[in-house]
Amino acid sequence: VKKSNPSFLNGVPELLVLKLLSSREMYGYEIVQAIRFETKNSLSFGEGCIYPYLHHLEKEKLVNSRRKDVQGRSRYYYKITSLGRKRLGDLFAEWRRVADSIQLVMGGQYA
Amino acid sequence: MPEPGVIEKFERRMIVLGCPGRKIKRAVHELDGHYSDLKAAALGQGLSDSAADDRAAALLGEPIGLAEKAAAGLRHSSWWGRHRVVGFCILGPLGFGLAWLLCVFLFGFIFWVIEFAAGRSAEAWVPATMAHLSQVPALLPLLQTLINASVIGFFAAFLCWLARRSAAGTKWAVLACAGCAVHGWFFHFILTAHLLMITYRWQPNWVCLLTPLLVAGGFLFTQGQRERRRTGALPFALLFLGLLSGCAAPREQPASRRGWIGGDYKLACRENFWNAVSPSPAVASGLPRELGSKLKSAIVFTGLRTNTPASRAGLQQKDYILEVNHQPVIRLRDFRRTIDQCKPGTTVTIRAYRDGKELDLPVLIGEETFRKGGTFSIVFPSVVHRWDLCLNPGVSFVIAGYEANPGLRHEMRNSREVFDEDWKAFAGIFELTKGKRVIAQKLAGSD
Repeated sequence: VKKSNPSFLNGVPELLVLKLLSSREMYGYEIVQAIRFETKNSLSFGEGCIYPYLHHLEKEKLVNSRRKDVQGRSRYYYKITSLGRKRLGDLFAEWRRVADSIQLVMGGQYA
Repeated sequence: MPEPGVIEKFERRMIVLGCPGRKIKRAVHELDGHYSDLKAAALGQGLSDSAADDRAAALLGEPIGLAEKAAAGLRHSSWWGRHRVVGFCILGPLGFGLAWLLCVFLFGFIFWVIEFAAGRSAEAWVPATMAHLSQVPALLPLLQTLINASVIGFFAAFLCWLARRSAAGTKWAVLACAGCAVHGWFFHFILTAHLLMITYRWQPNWVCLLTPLLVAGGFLFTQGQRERRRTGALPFALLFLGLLSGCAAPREQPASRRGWIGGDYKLACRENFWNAVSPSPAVASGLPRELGSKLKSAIVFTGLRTNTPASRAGLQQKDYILEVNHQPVIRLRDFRRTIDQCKPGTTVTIRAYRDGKELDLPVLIGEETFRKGGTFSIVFPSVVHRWDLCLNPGVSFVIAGYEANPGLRHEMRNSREVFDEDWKAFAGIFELTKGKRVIAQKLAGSD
């Protein structure tokens, strides 16, 4: 993740990629553009770095891939697996907990 | 068209880093597609072709860094990539033992298939076939060389494949081959007319030493081809050394000679408590009553072939030896040492006891040729050692122990080599043996 990468953002790329892939299967370029679009350019991947990351998720069996020809172009499409959905649920709960805690501190008496 | 260079640089860097071809192909395919999408988007924004190329290259990232990140990802996803020192320098070369075990199982499986198909027991036809094959000149040594080279060569090649598959890098493949070569120094697959053995000896096996170097040379050469660069002299030097090893005869230890009279013998002594509790294979039961009254022990011939110095001198099976050169013999080891130290061609006088009579017989000492050697073996758990709690001089607790030869000798039968064991130490499935391989026994004066 570019622009800011403090330690509490660990696991965020995984969360974002799994969340995007949970709705439909996508290819690498699509994922990068979707993150950029959804976050209104505030978060963006280094474009070429998405692939080692996707391959890692595939090795962990959180996503799987297939080669598909669309409009004369051959691309690898990635799709979330049931293990990936479980991991997404865990990551989302963890993120919620961290975000709520930060929110509490920000809005608390010492803020 | 993508800017010439970006994808190419990425691909070449991945090759240099030793990534597997299939993974490189896929990474290049995906990155190329991404580049095209980026460029199409830039063109859609009204940029010129060259400006769109520049924009796409800038967004995609620096190709060398991307390749290194991709290779690191591949390395991280594999156990061999994460544990390169342990894997390629220690476990890999040691795992060679596993490879030969697989070979043994393969042999066993082939025998089983033949037994099943032909309905003949392997025990019956294997020795006969081996004896038949040994008639063909140089066939068995050639087969032995081929098997040695192919087993260790296959294993070294497997480690090279693992190094590429895990993107560990070229140097780790070469290190693994060097480890195999060091391991191969001790490893011996021995195939003769009477013996099929896999063992470790403290003497060089040139074939097993140099075959991994051949594999390393081949690997470096193919890596150079992949990188489209000149490989230099090293791969060719390694290939040459490896090919040379195919012609190199295994170097044997120099042969030594000692005195020989022939026969299998044991110590005959009075019955005692320890012999009853822990019977030794070196001790025969009882002495004749006449001898028992005046002697504590004597040597008894338990077997004697006809064409031996002892037999020619008139000694027979079940004779008791009381003296050698007028010195009483009461211990097997002393008797054996006395005979060993006799010069071939000289005569010793042996006093023997037979049917109540004592005979003095001159024995012309023959010559036994042997080579010193030791083995380290992994034995199957079914090889169970016996209890031997007496220090005579070894001691054995079945699963671990030390057994020293109490003085037993074996005769060569049908010209088969015999291993004259000096001592053996074992623990679990590991066994270390030191002794002498007796390769010839001949009468004095004969060639």
